[in-house]
Amino acid sequence: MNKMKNFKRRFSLSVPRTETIEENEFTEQINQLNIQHTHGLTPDRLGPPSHDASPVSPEPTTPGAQSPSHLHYNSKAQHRRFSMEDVSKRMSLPMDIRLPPEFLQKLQLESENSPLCKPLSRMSRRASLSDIGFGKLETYVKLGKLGEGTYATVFKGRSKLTENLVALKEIRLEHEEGAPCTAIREVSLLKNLKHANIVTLHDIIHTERCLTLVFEYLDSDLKQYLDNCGNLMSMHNVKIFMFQLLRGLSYCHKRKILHRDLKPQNLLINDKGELKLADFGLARAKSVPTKTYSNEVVTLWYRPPDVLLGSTEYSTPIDMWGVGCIQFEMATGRPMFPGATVKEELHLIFRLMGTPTEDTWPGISSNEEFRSYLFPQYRPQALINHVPRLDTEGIDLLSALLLYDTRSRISAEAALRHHYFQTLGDNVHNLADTASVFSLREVQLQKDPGHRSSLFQPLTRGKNRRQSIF
Amino acid sequence: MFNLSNMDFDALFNEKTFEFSDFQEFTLLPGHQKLTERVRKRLYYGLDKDVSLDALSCPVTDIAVEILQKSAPSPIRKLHKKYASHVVREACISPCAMMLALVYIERLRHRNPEYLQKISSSDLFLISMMVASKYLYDEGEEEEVFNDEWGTAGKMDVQTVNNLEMNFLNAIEWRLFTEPRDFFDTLSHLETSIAERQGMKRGWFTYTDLCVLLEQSAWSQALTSIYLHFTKVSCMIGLVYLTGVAGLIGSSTVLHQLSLSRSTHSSLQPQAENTPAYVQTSALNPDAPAAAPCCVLTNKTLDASHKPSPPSALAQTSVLCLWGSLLASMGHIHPESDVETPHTWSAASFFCPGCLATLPPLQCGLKNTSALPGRCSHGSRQRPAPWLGSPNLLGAVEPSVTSGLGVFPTVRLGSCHPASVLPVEKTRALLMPG
Repeated sequence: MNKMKNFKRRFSLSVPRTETIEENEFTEQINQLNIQHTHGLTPDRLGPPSHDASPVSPEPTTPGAQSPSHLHYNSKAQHRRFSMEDVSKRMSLPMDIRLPPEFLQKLQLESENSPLCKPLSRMSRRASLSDIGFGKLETYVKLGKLGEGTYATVFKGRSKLTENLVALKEIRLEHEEGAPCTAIREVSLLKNLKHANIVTLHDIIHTERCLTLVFEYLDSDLKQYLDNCGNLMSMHNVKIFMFQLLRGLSYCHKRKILHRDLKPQNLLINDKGELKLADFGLARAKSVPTKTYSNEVVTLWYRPPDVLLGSTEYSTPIDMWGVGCIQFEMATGRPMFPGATVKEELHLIFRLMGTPTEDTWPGISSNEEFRSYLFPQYRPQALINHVPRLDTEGIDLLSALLLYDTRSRISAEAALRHHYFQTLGDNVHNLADTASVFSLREVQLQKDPGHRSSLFQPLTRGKNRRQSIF
Repeated sequence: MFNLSNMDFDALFNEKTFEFSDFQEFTLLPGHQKLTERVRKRLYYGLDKDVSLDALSCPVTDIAVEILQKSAPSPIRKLHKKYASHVVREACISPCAMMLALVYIERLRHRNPEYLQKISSSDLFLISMMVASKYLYDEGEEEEVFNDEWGTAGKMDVQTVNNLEMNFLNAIEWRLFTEPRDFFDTLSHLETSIAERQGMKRGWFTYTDLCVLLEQSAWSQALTSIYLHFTKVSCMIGLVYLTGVAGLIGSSTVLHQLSLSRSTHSSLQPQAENTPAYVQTSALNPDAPAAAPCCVLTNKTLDASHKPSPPSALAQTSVLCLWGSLLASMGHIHPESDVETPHTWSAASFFCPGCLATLPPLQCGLKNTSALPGRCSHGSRQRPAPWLGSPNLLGAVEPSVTSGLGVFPTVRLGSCHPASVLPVEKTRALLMPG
């Protein structure tokens, strides 16, 4: 009986080895390199390779005999991880990467000439990255289309390097345009944004015909999430999503980057409930002053009234209006101002929030555009009547986000400190940039009341799955 | 003058006003207007509002060409001003885009020098300006960039432009995001070189040129150090003057006291009458500031020695030593200023060794007296007046100090009288020249 148990245990131990036998081979090479490096041995006199050749000893009778080999395995596993980490760290690669055998062989050859711990030069790092398979189309397997937009198509894919799912955003390159400025902006901005609530750009593949951006894969967005829970979200989850949205946005605004296209479709959500800002195609940095600024930004429903009235001198408050609209949408399940034209959009806003006066919007009376519309004088309505499920603090935050005067509209940084988020605890403010809010035990999603099927199943809704391209 | 202009321009144009202003409040257009104004003024665009900023001024193009040639040294298709100005005109490169392109080239110099070795400077010029414009301008605005237009401007086909663009983006690893600091660094660098060059060419500097140059750290540092030196020198002269005055007052009080005490000792009267006369002349002598510190020293030690408790005397002397070392250090700070203030030097060096070495007051007095007569007899030939006063006064210190320590309760004077150091005839000769 005891014997049988032992055997089972051993068997289960040996199983992962057979599965990742390939990987082990490479790591073994690296291990040997390490050993060689530390002991200063010549490459032909490496440590005995018999270690892993006989992973299971044939006579596992006594428990005493079992433990040493168990330990042996453990130490081996630790050693293996260390060396993998070593290579990944040295090249600052993701930790879950699987290096191809050719690359490791090359590494071994190189290390005979130069020690492993020597820092890489920029050029050799770039060359090594290309050897590993970064920047190459064949590294990624296309799995299926996620959506199509005016200038890009998004595919679901798998990386051969990490075996993780990725989203491949293919941008067709127009001959006369070259690399579109949206892509140039998106890539250059995302290269500088490393945050838990901003989508990660893994790789760029630049060929003559198209430019492929490789993003981390998140299986749903806020729009789908709302659809999926019958537009009836738990108010606690609304709070957590709002906090994550503001966290990502505040990070961008601190770097003087405006998103300029916030909407539920651009807020990606994974199975853990982590929300990430995506689609920086319209985003731009304000670090360098320029003459003109497009006012054809932000999807109409989430566009602030000042931009609707033709303002081109906007700043970070442009994104904050959209945050308010999104909060409303999460709490009520319907879009706040679903206008079809600029005029209708303005009309909807003024009907709910009241027609602006000199008091609520200094300088509005001299705005030609506003005067030409000749809107009736609406009185502001109480928001609580429209969002009955939102608590007092929530209403307070919402009205601070939906202020006409851009100067008094609350900033992302200040909104994070709003009383509304007090129930999330104090620790959420002390998180590192790359740490998710769910790394704290006190922050947990609740079951949404309107939730129909299991939320955490992969969504299979086919064609109109992703209306927006990221 | 320059302080005023600096402040004025700082407030108007310094990038710090961009950085420290509340970002919420800071809207783009005023920022851009300020920048435009600055660019017009300082990059020689002319203040005429009709002249648009969608090209580069001649001096800016000159400098850009030079930087490009330096960055990409490849001899093939070397950038010439003619080509550069043609591209600039055709593609309407704004000064902002140009400066951003220069930031990128600087970045490439650090990150990817291999790329700069390979590319020709003409291609680099075209492509860096194009990518910068693409990054900077929104789609649908009048500045929107198309590669084919740029190809025409640069006299190449679209395919080449596209390839160049691809290589450029890969070389810079798509890192086009720029911190305001980098941008304004480049701007001020450009302004400086333009101001310098134009000023040199013209032979004189305009007010704007000077303002630009004064903002630069090297220039302002040089001017600040000159300013500081000037203040230090004037302080030194003032100090010397003050010590001279203090010495005058001090010596007169000492002499007053001496004459009082001497009136009781009738035997030494004639010489006592003699002493104040010449000491006063020495103090009044305008060439004699060196005597002043000594006078003060002696005076104070004298005061200290009158007090019965040795600790307080010690404290007094240490304070004096501090002052002395201060003077000495000031003298050492200004090795170059000793042309103007040779007296300070001599005063400090004369004063200090005794002070620093001799914290016990008794030793101090002794050392000074033992050291001085030799020096006095030496110096008496060239500069008799300053030295004459001191032996007398220091001599007076010695006994009084000992009395302060309680060894000798009575004051014994005359032991170190000038008469014993110098022959009376010589003193007279010195007193009455000619």
